[in-house]
Amino acid sequence: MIVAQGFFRHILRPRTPSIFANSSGFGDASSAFAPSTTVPQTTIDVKNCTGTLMFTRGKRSRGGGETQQKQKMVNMLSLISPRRKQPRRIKLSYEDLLRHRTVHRAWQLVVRTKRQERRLELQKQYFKMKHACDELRKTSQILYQSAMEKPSPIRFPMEYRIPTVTPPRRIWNATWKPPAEEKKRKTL
Amino acid sequence: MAGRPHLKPASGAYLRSFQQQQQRQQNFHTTTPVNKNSISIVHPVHHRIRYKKNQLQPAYKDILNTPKWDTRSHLFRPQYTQHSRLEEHYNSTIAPDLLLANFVHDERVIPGRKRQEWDGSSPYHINRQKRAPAGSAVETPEIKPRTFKNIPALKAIWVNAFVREAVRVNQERALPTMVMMQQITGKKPRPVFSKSTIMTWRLRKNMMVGAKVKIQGPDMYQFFATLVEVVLPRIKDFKGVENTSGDMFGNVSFGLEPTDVKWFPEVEGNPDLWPNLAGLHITLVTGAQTDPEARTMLSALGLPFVGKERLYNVPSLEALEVIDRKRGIIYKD
Repeated sequence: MIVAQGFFRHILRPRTPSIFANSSGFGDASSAFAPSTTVPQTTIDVKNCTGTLMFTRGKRSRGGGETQQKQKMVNMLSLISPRRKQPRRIKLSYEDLLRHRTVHRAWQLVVRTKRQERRLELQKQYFKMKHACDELRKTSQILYQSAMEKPSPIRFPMEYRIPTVTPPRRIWNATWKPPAEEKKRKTL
Repeated sequence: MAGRPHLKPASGAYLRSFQQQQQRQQNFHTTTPVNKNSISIVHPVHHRIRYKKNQLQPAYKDILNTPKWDTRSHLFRPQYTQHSRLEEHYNSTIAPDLLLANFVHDERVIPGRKRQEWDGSSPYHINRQKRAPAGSAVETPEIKPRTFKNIPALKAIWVNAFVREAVRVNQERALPTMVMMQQITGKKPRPVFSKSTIMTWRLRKNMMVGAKVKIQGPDMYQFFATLVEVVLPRIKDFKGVENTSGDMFGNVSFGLEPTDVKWFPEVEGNPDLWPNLAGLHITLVTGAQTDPEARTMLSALGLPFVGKERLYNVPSLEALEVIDRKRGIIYKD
């Protein structure tokens, strides 16, 4: 028998792995396996559509849009709760464990190498820019000052979109003009 | 013992005056007088922690000892199962361009507003708390020179929903929005409970009135890409996020109406499942130091901006000159 008042808090409170008496034991896999909506296995019929939700097994209630709504709420709650959605724990034999570790470490090495390469590229870029500006300042004050001017605000255009795996339907637009120019042309 | 009447020491370790000790021995039926010449030894207070002994059984030993990042742990959640488009685009294309765009030659640290010391004109200034910062109620961080180490990037996204019907009608009304947030972001949201009772709004304390969730990493990039490519273009009369939006330190917020939320693919696919949805507040936490920088970065990721820009916390040229003059650098015209 579950009552709604305590039900929300019970379902919705954060779970962490702990052995302390006030907790629910082991942490549930609360961070989502966000599944598509599943109908609960056992039909939970609702009676007494007052403020509280009382669940009783085996007793069927007749009709009503209110029971349907309550059933929807029950479905919603079951989506949020990690009940029966936790995957089975992986058990690895010693050889499997070694294989897993090898692959994992190799992949981490690849990721780390990529990250370091990126950082090195940015570092080189930064110092080249810095040295270029130093040289320019020594060469010509006027050119240096005009180079140091920055537009405000700096915006990247929409055409600078996130690239997709497949190309767009129209690959190249030879007659493309920036939107500001396009507006001018239309008004004229 | 003074202050701890519930603790009784095993042996009387009090120093008593000889006279009082004699009195004690002689008069068994009189109460002991107040001891002014005694020392009290503080016995350790053993804090008892309640734990479930059942959970320490040998069968559970390996479960409790496997760390969270181990694949054999029940808490393990695989992270990089898919290639993240937006992350790759940012790393390969946008980061170097942002480094160039934000570069300022010979930049100095621009001090923020910090707490001030008292000048010492009064003797009461000794050991007094520092004064509030000049021109601000709170301390503001200093703006560090922009290098390859602090390029602005998307750090986290907070999605927050307040459901008005949960206050007016029924607390259950907050659940569909909460489930929808889970479907959209891929992470289970936390419920938000009200903190005060206000009768005019029919609000009680500790009522569930909404939900919030913080997403980081690949989930965050996926959510942002969906927003920018699928949801925002579908919104009617949407030109862009306001240029005035920002919290002075590089975090940008905007909101989605209940009618806009249904353009998310998870909601659009099954419209019957989502009868009453609330709108969302979306806060983009960036690593930028100022708002204009954050907006530049977000425009590179595809988020449009509209309207007149508001420049808080961005020092003017005069202010920069003042800072340099203090350090002994004077500009010659």
